[in-house]
Amino acid sequence: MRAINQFYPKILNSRFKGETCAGFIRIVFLFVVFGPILVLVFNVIQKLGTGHWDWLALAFPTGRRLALFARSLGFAISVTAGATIIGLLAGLYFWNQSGKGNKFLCWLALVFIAVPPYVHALTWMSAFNGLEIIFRRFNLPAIALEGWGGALWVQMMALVPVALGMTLLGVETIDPDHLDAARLARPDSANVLKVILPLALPLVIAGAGFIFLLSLTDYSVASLFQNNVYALEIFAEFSSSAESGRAFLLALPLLLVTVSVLIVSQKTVRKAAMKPVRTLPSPDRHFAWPSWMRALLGIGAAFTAIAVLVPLAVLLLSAGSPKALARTVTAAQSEIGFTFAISLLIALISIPLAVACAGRLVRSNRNHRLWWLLVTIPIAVPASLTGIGLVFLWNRPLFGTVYGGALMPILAGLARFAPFVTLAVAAQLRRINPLLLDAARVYQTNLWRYWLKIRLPLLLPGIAGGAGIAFLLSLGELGATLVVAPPGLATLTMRIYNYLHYGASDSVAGLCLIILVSALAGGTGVLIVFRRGFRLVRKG
Amino acid sequence: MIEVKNLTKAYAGKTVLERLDLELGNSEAAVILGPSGSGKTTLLRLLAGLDVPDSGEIRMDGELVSRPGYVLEPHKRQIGFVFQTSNLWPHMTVRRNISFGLGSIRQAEVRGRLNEVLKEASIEDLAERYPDEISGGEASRTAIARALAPNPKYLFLDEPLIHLDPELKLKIMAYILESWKRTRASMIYVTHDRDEATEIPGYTFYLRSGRLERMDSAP
Repeated sequence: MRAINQFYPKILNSRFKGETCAGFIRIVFLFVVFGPILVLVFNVIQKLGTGHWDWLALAFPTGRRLALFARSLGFAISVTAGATIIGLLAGLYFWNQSGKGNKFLCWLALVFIAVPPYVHALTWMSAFNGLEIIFRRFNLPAIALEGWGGALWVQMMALVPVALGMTLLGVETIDPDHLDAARLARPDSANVLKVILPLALPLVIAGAGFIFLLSLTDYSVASLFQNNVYALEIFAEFSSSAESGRAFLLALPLLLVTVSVLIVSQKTVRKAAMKPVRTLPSPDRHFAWPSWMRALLGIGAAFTAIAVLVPLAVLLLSAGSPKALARTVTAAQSEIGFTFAISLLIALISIPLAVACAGRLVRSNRNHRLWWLLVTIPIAVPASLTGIGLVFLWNRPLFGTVYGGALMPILAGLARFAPFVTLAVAAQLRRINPLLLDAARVYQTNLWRYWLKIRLPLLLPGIAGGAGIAFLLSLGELGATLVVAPPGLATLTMRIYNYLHYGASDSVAGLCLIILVSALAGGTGVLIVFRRGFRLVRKG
Repeated sequence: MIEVKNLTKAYAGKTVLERLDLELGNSEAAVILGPSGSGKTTLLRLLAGLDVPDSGEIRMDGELVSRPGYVLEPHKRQIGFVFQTSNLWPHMTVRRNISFGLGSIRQAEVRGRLNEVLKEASIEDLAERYPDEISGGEASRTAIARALAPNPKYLFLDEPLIHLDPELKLKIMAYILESWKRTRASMIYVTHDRDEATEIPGYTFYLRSGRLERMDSAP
């Protein structure tokens, strides 16, 4: 008893220190993620205070801007509908297949999530140019990839892997016993609509919400097809007026839509059952779906195969000889080095921020809803607005070294992607049996031992997976980097994006291939880590 | 009638059931006893058509329903299955959980049968509630009612009382026996609890090293 009395204050003391440390890191997270937006809000208030009331009109689009806003919404809704339907059909198809070819295709599609949409745009343009030549040779009418139709096709194909991934996550998290119970009662075809889809729906809806956000806030694909979208208007407003507050007010209607969509979709994710626990060996499950259903799902899988294989083939063919590729790499050496360095730093710095905040998401108290909002709302902020906010925050004489250096793209990446790492760590935390952590707390001699020996190893799949996601997203980040990159320092994506406007070339294809190969390697790593994580937690 | 011959099943190289034989007549009951991991659940899953045997065959009323490479779909076997956990579909109310297996009959008949089953299980008041709004005992009753609703010819119960407290166990066991007597389905009851096994009036088998050993017989 005496020993326990001596021991307990030690634990409480170390826990207090740990909580203080975590609290400090959470404040840093909030500053990094919300700082750029909050300064814009303050700027607007300040400007209104000095009589710029006419600026308020920017928040209520009329005439051309209203039409542009409506067109952008229509575009995002169409992309979301198309990509979600294809991803859903393909997800169900791949889920019910065991062949190695299908598994490879599914893996390839999933790692394609990391390939930026403008790389897809480039490859599809090249593919359609090639088709046009072939069609002309046979005197057939050419199919042009241009205008809104072209942008819609490319954006949809680029986002199909996201819908596929969320569908697979949705069906994989269904309790296998629920499926067995359904199979005993009704034919497999009926179970798809009555049991499988309703149970997978929360994550499918969340995926659709995410696709909608990405489509609405991305301007790269639309602008490559000479279309203006509302997200580009924000960037244009900042470029012409150099007034951050005006850009923020212009972005308000877009923010209203994206934040609303995010709140609805994150609610479904919070409710989704995330317990892929199966103590029995894997069943010999293979659903006997009718031929019409298999054909329908097969169409979704075929579209997914096209979405992945066409860009891959075009890049491999256009990159030219290995010598030409080597020349491209040498010419872009500094951009490649800079991109990889900042991506790595973003991934590494995100980890402590995510670990400190993830626990708040899984706690079952009143604050956890607030934390869900705090962590997910940044995802709804257009990249260019984050960049504009960062410029306004750091472009001051006192912070000259920050503003003029490599730290700006890192801060941009952290503001955009630290929330994703937090969600990945929180998902892992939710999968851990809480009794394992309770047991560790009972036997802990000090807080650091508890963290290093128990909590971190259990969290590792989420940490590694989340950091991998942040690294991959940072490799392809363009919207915010374009605004904040200091003179003389350019990322790989900036170089590609600038080249793209001068027409596709070998060097663009070569650079895209570098991003693609990095994405494939990194994406494979993330998938392996997540799968290992599942196994580790199951064993636990 | 259920006939199982030479049934073998292995998972990841480990043989769980080895050349197992079993015969159970119409309306008869059998209890299968065995420690955790002895293959009891695997046997029920094979009987239900949820897994494919590596060798051997299963016949129901003389019809071949399972052999390597062929499995008659589970919903065509006229089976009622009660899992270890109540396993109710979380997005459906109690009423919809129970009526799900009655899909092939007319709507008026579904309503009649549903009311009958709800009454027998004493869960009429819970019909519109969702699984997360009912207690463990109520969920067990619902799961058994769901298994019995389509009037199955075969009733398989996989340790249905394992997560219940002693008082509730007695009540649910009484409901199971009463339901079995009423339906006269052939019943296989799997458990690791000898006291529970003595409650079931039928054959008792012990599953050891992947094979069944008969312990005693029914009158």
